[in-house]
Amino acid sequence: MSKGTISILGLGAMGSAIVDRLRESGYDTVVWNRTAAKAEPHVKAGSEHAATVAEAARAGDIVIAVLLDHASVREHLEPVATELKGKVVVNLTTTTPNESRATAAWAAEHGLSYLDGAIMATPPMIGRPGSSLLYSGDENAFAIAKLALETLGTADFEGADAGLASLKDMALLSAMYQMFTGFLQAAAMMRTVGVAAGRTAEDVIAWLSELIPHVGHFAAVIDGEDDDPALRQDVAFTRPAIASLITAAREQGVSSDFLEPLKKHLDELAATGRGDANWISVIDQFPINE
Amino acid sequence: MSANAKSTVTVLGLGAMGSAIAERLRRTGHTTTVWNRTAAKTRPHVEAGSAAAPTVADAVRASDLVLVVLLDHASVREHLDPVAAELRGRTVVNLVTTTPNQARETAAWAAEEGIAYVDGAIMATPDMIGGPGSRLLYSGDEAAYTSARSALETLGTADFEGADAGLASLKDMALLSALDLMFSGYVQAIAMMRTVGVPAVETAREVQAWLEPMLSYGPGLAAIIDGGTYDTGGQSVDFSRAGQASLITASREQGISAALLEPHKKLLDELAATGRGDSDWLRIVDLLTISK
Repeated sequence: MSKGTISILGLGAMGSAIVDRLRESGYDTVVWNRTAAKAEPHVKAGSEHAATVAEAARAGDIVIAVLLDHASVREHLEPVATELKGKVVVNLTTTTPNESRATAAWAAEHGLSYLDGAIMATPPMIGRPGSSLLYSGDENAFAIAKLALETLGTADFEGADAGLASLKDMALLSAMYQMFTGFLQAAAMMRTVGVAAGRTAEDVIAWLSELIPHVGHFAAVIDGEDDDPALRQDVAFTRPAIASLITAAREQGVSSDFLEPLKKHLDELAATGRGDANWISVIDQFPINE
Repeated sequence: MSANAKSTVTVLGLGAMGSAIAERLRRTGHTTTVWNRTAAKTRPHVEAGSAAAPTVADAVRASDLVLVVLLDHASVREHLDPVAAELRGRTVVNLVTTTPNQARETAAWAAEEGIAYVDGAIMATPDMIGGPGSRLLYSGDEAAYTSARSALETLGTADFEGADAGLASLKDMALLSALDLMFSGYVQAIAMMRTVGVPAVETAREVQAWLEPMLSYGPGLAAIIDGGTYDTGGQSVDFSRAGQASLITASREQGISAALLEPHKKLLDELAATGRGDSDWLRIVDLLTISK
């Protein structure tokens, strides 16, 4: 017995993984891809092939877009607005929060139920433990699509602002890449004395895993909770400490570019009379006016 | 235990860290002599059983092992240079935070003066000294390290990194850089999520849950770097450029500075501009090596 029909637009690595998973989970799947050849393995495995986006849009109760980027989403969805009316459109293409909001506004104008999603997983992780997907936009659409979406990974609804899923995805990815650049910085420094990156990775992992559980206290300070004096480190103390890291890197012939922005934020605080402030007040330097 | 009980240790500098170290040594049965620029700070230590020395020279003469916990490199040289004669034949363990080259410079001076020199880096806060998470790195004169080891191990796990006196500091600075950049990642995520009213504590919790499993990717990334060919067929420079550009745009759209994210993108751009867009993104680590 079929659980319903889902159309998938886009058969890149991620789109293909999603179709595979939905098919395995008992959904009827209809696939469309710009290059039709990519549909072949899916047709052999039991999916239907749609020759056009309009055909795919008509066939599915839920239409999932897994296209290249925001521009390709708009290029392919705009001409089929009529066909999409009454369907749940789930956009899993990676877009910025404002791009998601723009698509949501367009969908609202055309009477479509629109859900924006962000995939916090790689294609091989789809449907497996560790796969997490974030959604935002039309909550009713989320409720309708939830069972199907949960086959891909944990499904969290972030709120009615369609940009929220993308925003959280981008925020977490930013944190991840900063952590990785921290590892790269350490690896580059230790390579100057012949230590392999593998060895540095072990040291960094041991060091960071021990410290990650203690990060929570500084977040509480940002929220305005009590500043524990025992854990407090002020701007005036932190500036020379970061300067030492920069000097140490340069002494070894390693770029300090990753570390400079943090130092610059601290310098700004010191220059504006906030040397006594907790170093975490650097976060006040982040909002910009454009 | 009797050999330990008899060993005497001098601690120069009684800031928060020096005090924690003097206290720990005392509690583990070491006879301690302390000196501090402001003599008043020696009082609680004297009351607890330490001897206070009126001058650095007196403090140095009292022990075979001298631990230096002063403010910075300049104060180390300011206080040790005049007592070189007294230090001859003794072991100096310099626990002051210095850069690798500063450590090497002090080691060279010590060698000239016939002083056994070990440079140390403390990867702990004062309240952690002697506790389970306390870790100290050492480099320099290995024989001196071995003789001081039983005293040093009371402070925390002791690792000897090698004969180059700068190694302990270098590893300390490398790990602190990794930590500070991880922290800055938290700050970036918190700043972005605050724009939609999410409290910092909630974002920190999300980031922690996200990053902890990511740590396990470290050895895989390292293997690609150590392989050196960057032809993995994995995440390419070109793919990463688009991804990093999205992060920067997302941050700016929300009115949040992307300054922390820019260097990564810049390195990727540099690789793409020099025909290495197909390489694994980790190739950016090679661009971190610059000429001095």
